[in-house]
Amino acid sequence: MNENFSIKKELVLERFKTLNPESKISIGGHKEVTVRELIQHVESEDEFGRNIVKVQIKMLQVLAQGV
Amino acid sequence: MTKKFLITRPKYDIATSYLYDFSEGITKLLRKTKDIHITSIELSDVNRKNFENALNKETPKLIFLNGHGDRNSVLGHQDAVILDKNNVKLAKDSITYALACDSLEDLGKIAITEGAIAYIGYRAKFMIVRDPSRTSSPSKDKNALPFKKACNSMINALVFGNTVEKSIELTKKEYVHSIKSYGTSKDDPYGDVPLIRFALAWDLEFLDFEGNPNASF
Repeated sequence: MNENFSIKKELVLERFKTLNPESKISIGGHKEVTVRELIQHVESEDEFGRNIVKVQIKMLQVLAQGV
Repeated sequence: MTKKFLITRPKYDIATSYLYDFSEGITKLLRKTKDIHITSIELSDVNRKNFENALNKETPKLIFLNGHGDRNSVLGHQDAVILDKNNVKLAKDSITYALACDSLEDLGKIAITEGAIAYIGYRAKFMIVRDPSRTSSPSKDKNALPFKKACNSMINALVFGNTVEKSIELTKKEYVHSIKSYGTSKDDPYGDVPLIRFALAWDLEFLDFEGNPNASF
């Protein structure tokens, strides 16, 4: 695992840990995933978790560009 | 010359009730538009037989699918498969916009090899954050509004003649605008804004297309 990904992963985890762990996102089909489960995916670095890191970093970049 | 537009609008669970609400505006608008003929398959009528009949009879140039999906199919009422590799050739010479999970990844590619001009959709799950107190009335759900705006941006851009590439660009701009501007603590009783921004960024990342970028309706 490269160091760059590890830094991004930690950043994403710290942000998610500030949210209500029971808040839910609908992820299509009939499924919902809680913040707690998002954190678990990021921690386990599965495919979904790695995409979560990628998207959250992209979101931060969008926000950093200003309104 | 009248352009032909086909839309599917199932509504049998919370997720499809939101998509049904999202597409209400474009459906009403096009029913009043003289140079576009709309065929809307709704509710329990959204099944494979009705969908195939409409494709054969109308040969629509633009197809807007709302519903559940996976990499290989798009679904209608009660999860009945309405489009998959076995009938996707019926979408030849058309532009399809699938507001459904995952279907661009495999079915979108197959659609192009079977003669579709373009297939727009999501390469992963379509995410949305709902207000749990509003799930019985999606039109009043403020959390869903930025997702609705982005989805409407895409279909409006396509319907009014923008190319596939331009429509994607406009929709991605709408996602970016919402990520930057959505929400304040005043209207966020559940602290959902960071999660909404994340879900918008997810949909922004995985919205894409296969086929001809210069195609238009």
